[in-house]
Amino acid sequence: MMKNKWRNDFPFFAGNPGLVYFDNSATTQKPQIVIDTLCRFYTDENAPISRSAYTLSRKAEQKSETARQIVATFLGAKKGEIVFTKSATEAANIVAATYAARRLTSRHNIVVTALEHNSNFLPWRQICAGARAELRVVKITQEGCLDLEDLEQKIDDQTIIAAVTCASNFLGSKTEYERVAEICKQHRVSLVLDAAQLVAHQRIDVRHINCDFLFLSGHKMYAPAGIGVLYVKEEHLVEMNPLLVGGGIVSGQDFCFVENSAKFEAGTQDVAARLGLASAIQYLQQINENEVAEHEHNLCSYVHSGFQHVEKYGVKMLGNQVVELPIFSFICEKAHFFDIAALLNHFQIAVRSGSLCAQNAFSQMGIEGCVRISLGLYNTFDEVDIFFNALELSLRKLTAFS
Amino acid sequence: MLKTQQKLIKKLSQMEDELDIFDYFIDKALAGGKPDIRKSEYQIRGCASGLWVKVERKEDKLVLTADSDSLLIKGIALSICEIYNGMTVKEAKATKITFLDGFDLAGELNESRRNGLSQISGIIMKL
Repeated sequence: MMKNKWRNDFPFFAGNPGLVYFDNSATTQKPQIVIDTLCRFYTDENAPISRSAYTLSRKAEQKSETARQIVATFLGAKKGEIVFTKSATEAANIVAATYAARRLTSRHNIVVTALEHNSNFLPWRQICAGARAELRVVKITQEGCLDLEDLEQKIDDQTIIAAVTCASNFLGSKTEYERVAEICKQHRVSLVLDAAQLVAHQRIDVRHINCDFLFLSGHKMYAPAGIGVLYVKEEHLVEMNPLLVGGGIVSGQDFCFVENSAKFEAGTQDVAARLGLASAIQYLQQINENEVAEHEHNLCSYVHSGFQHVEKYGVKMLGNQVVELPIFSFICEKAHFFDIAALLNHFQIAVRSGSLCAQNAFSQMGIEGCVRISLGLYNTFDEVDIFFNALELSLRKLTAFS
Repeated sequence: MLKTQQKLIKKLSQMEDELDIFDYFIDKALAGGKPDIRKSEYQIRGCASGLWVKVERKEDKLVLTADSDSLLIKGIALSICEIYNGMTVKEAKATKITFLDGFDLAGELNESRRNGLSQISGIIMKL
């Protein structure tokens, strides 16, 4: 199997020879440098932060704050605007519960899109239900793109917040989030961006975009699970109260919340995961990003051409024919998505099948589920060949009688 | 009736290639035709592949049939139905479905599908 120059950085593949891992939108594998960071912390550096005065604790805190700065620089933000969360899901819930909910009344509305993953749909749905406010869902076009005309129609003077994904978790397309940001700015609507699917492949600068909030998930960008990031524009920090309350977020006997982003980080924190996230970011910054982008672009083209060979089995790719990120979803008129995924598993190909936590989009597209392949920087052209060979064998078996 | 499941386990264990197991369940699904049971009263909730199971009693014996959008799930569900078919309710309640346990095929079944299939036994338990 042809190896690319980054694959050897990821020990998972030596431990799983023969497995074609095409489920990176669900979670990514970790480079040795990230694994070493976690091991080193737990071997030599483990101590609580923000609690104790001894040297090891202070060092752990310094490393944690350095990690926060690394994340801030990565996103073009100030250090104080970065909140560490357990996940992108938690981040979305924080914004919904502590920023949006306090503004929301029955005369207001929140705008989301049909492309949203449930992590950026259900929190808004929940608070709208509680406030008897309207949740407006922007349509997607036949090609799977965000309908910006519909977005402009749905945003009005009563819109509190717009929550939009930067990239679809199943279509491989980016939303025009910069244009969305302009529209939100025109209408003075706060914008939340879900960058979970984007940041493993492309950079984003929150200052340039001028969003109010942005969140991402560590495990989808070669970092450990259990760590997410919420960017909160500085002007919003003061007015937001924490969602989760507990140790480490109050000072003095009158229980005043601390004023920095740490007020959202109640309880004992996963310092190792923070350091692991920082290591993953540093890894991405050390490797040649242009080379990675070119590799992923070439993979996209190769995969796209491969799908043409299986059209005869009734395979249809979902969404826009121009795929910007290496994420592809397809259905087959003659075979169920579960059966396809099950057979691919037999051939040691890891894919995702089902509705992918994107029920809104699937409902609008009139389908129940699909098969998704999502590639990462360590995937190879040989793996794509193996995938399509296995797919063809599977489809031949499943469609023989239809 | 215990023999039905034992026969199935024996048959599956003799298959050297896992693909043969897939073929077995796919063939069973195709042989199962298209029973007219895709109604909400027969739908198993929580199974993402769409699963319908009809349970009847004829002269004190159980008659089950199943349908699914997925050939694999349908084949497995029909195998479960075959195990229960012809049993009394008492016999069925005493029967544990185990034929999937020893096979890697179970790896293909994520929690929602396994939950869906296990609800067939749940229906039996509620009779």
